[in-house]
Amino acid sequence: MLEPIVRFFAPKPLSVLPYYVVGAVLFSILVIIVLINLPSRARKPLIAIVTFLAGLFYATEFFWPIDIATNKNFLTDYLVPASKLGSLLGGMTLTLGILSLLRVHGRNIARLRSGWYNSLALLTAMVAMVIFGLIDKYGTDATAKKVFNVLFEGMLINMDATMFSLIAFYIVSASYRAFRIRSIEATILMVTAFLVMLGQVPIGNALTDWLPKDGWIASLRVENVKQWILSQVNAAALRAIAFGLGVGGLAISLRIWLSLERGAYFEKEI
Amino acid sequence: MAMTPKTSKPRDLWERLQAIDRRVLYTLLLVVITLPLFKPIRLPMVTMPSTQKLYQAIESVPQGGFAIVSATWSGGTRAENMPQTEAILRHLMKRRLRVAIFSFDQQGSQFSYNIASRLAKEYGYEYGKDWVHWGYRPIVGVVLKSLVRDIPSTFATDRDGKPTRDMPVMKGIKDIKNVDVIVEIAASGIYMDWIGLVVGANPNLKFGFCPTAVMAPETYPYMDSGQIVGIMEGMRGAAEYEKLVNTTGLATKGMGSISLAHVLIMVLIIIGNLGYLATRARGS
Repeated sequence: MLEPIVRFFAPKPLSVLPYYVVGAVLFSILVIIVLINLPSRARKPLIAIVTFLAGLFYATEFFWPIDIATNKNFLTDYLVPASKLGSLLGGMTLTLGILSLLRVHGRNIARLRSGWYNSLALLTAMVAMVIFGLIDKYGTDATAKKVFNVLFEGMLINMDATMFSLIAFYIVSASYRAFRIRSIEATILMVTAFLVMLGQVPIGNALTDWLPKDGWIASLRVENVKQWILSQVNAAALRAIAFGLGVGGLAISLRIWLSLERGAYFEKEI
Repeated sequence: MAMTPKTSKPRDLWERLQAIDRRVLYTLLLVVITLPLFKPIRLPMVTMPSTQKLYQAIESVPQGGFAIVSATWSGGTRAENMPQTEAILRHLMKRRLRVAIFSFDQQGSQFSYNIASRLAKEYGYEYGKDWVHWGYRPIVGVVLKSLVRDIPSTFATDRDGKPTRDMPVMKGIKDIKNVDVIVEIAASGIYMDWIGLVVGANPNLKFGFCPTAVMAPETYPYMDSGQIVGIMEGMRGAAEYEKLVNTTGLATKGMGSISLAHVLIMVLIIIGNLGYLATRARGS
C-alpha cells in the first residue's frame, strides 16, 4: 500500500528531475488557487480538519502500543512519508515568503519609493543566490560555481558573522551603562555574574590557580564556584521555568490541535 | 517644531565615570580582542566536568561505532561553533568511529562539510566508507521523528544527491537503536527537540550538546538528569576539548581575547558603579 508513495518520493535521476520540479510547482499553484477561491466559511473548517488529522496522526503513532517483534505499530511506516510531506509544506511556505518579498520590494522599485535601491539590492542578491546556487548544485560551469562560492562563503557567511559580532560592542556599552547596583538584588546579581564570567575564562582561573586542586579548599577556586552556581542554583531555577513552559506548551498545543486557539492569526477573517 | 533631546554635560569626575563615550568603549574592546591574537597570552586552562563528561562519553564508544553530528549553526556564531565542530569531528575520527553529519542550517551544512573534508584527509577517512554528509535538512521535528524509526529512508541521499543506502558507512544502520552517539552543535535551543523526540528512544544512546556560551546555563538541568551526557560550553569548552584531544586550534588561540574582553566588561561595570555610588552618596 505504501510502495507507490515511497516510489514517488524516492530520489529521481537528473534526467527526469526537472519534470518533477515543474509538476510540483504547477500542482502547488493549483492547490493555492483552489484554497484562495474557497468560500470564506469553508476555509476555517478545512484548516481545522487538516490540523486535527495531522495532530491525530502523530499523537496516535506515539501513544499506540508497538508490536515487540517489529518495533512498529500500524502507523509507524507512514512516519517517513509524513516527514517528507512536512518538508514539502516547508518548501511551499518558503515559496510564499519569496513571492511576498518580490511583491513588496518589486513595488518599491517600480514606484521608485524612498530607499528603492535597497529593495533592488535585496532582490538582485536573492535572484543571484538562487541562480548560482542551482548551477552549483546541478550544473557543471566552473566559473558559475566560483561565483556561488564567492557569494555564499565569501559574502553571506562573513556578513552574517559581522552582524553578529556587532552585538559584542553593544553588550559592552549596554552593560557599562545599565548595570547599576541600585538594590541588594542587583548587587547579588552583579556578584554572581562576575563569578560566572571569571569562571568562564582562563584569566579567572589564573586568579585562584594557587589554591589546591583537591580537598574542600578547592571548592573556592573560581571555576568550581562558577560550576556550583550553574549546576545548583541556576539549574534549580531553570527546572522550575522549564516545568512551567512544558505545561503551558502542552496546553497551547492542545488548543491549536483542536482549533480552540483565539487571538492573532486565529480570529482574523481568512 | 521638533525638539532635540539635550544631554547635560557631566559635571565632575564621578559623573564622567558614568558617561564614558561609547567610541572609547568600542575602541577598547577592539584592542583587547585583537591584541592577544597577535601576542598570545599563556593562561592556565582547567577542564570543566561538563566538557570532560562529553569527552568520556565519546571515548566509551567502541571503535567502528556510529556517530551522528548535527551542525545547526551559521556564520554568526562561527567563532564558537566552528572550533566546537572541529574538536568533536577530530575526536570522532581519532577514535575511528563512523561519522554521519547533517545540518538544519544551510550555512552549517556547508561549514561542517568543509571541516569534515579537511579532517578526513588528515585522518585518512574515506567518504562513503568512513563518513557521510547528509546535507541540509529543513524542519527539525519531522526529521527527528522519522530518523528514530528509519534512518536510511530519512537520509536517503547525501548532500550531493547520491543514494546513501548502499554506502558502507551506513551498514547495519536502520534506526536510532543502531546509533551510539549524537552530538548537536548549535546556537539555538534545538537540544529540546532531540531530548523530546530522539534521546529516550535508545537508552544506550549518548547525546552531547555543544551550545554557544550564552546558551549553556539553560542546558544544565538536562545534564543533571543524564539526558545530555556532556556539554561543550562555547569557545571555552572548545578550548578545553582541544586540550583533551591534544591539538591547538582556534579556540585555544582565542582564549586570550575572550579573557581580556570579559575583564574589560567587568572593569567598566565597576567604574560605572563607582561613579554611581559616589554621586548617590553626595546627593544624600
